[in-house]
Amino acid sequence: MTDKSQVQIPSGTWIVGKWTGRRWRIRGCLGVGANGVVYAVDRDDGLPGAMKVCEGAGQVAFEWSLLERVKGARSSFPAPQQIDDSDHPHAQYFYVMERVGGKPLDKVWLGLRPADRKRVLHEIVAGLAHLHETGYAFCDVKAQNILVDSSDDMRVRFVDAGGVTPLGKAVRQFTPTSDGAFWGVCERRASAQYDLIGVALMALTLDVKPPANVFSQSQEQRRAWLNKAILQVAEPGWRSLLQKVLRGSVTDAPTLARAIQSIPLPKEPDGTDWSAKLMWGSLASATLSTACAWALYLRLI
Amino acid sequence: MGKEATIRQILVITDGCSNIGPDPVDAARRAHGRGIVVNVIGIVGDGEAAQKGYEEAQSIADAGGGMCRIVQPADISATAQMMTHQTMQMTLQQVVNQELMSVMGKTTEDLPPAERSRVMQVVAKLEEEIALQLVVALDMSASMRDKIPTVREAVRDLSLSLQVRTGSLEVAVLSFPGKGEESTRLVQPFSNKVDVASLESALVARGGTPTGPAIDYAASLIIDRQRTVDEADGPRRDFA
Repeated sequence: MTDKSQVQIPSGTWIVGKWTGRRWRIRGCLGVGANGVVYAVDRDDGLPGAMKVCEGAGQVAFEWSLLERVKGARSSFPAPQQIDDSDHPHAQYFYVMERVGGKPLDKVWLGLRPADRKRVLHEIVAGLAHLHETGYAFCDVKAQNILVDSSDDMRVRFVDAGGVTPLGKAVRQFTPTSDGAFWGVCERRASAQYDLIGVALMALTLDVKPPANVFSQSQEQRRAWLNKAILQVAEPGWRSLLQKVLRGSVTDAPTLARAIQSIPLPKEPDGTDWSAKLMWGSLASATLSTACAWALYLRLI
Repeated sequence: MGKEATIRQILVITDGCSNIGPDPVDAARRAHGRGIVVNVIGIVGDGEAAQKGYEEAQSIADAGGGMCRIVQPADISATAQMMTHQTMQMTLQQVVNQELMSVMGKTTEDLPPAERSRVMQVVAKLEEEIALQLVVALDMSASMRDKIPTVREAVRDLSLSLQVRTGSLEVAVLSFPGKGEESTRLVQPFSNKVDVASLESALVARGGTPTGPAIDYAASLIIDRQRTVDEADGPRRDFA
């Protein structure tokens, strides 16, 4: 087995399915991951999709089975469309899923207002609550795996189902900075709690960057950093909720969703209020000066 | 396939070319011949020497039936976990392929993709439940000095991943070179988890890079272990 070379298929190429005879046209590359490449495609009948290509038939078949298991109208994951093989040397084994809109959370986070951040985190946890009902955990919770569509009321979707694991089993795919076991706060076993700790770690590390030497630190040092980082969270409501989740006292997603919803929004200096005040102020002064002018003109004063 | 089945692996973590003792590629081939998979993580370096090191790492993995990845120190932990998991899956897939071949005259690739994904669900379940014997061989040559804390945490972290599997785990750690004239040194004998305290005290960087002797030693640890277990429990079924 050799180190993979990520050869990209040029746009406009048609990929022909061996088993179904369907054809997909490559529109561009959406991303390159640890175990494959994702392309934007259009099916021969115009249906848009995202094609995941892996080196081995096994990995494609395995990810497909995960998508099949978590699919449903309320699922946050892309709906599976088709699994197939082709004769194209760089797309021998692939599957096609729904193409999901939005931008990765790490790209939009800084530009989100507090109300939007609250909404996004609530949507993520609500999506997890639904997933957990099906008996699976997401496990690879990270900002790059969560797409936010600001044009669609901050709708949140999950991508990369490769880490999805039955509850109670060992986690196979994770990202250290949002992995509770890496930080020494929980086991690396798929559970609702593991996912919630992942969300808390993700939210925290989006705002406070972990130190560059975190990988050579002991677990005690990592935990100490976490405790300090939490104190840097400005809003008391968020701070105490993050503490609760990382201490392991929130164990199910619906409880966390309700807790997020009940956090009060900070009183922000509101731009719209300002301009409204200015408008009423200028209107009032204009009226007053007009009245005075008329009064002078009519020699009333 | 019963619970007595075991997957055996060696994971070599190195930052350079071997320069002492027998050829590591031959050693990996010997180990693979005994039913052991050899994976290699190479740590990124500079210059021509690094390039030679990458090529050797890849050749060791090819001869050992395993995978090779060249990574930054920070990525050792996630890579070790991913490789162990993927190569276990590969080994099981080979077994399933052999069974399919003997029963139906087909490999997994010959099946329609939808049926393939059912086979993979079985493979995933087996992977979670099968016993794993793993020897981690750590390059402790002089150039590794700065990377020791990262490597130590990565090994501890790998054990955190493997301990929560349903299947049993036996993990041993060795370093190369060892103390004094020794080319290798056993840091931790087979145990169900990594003892961080023993890693803390035993990992000291010094001397050259006897990768070949380290792989031979790792393989002998696994084979001796097998013999002891066989004498105690009767024969086991192994996957190669």
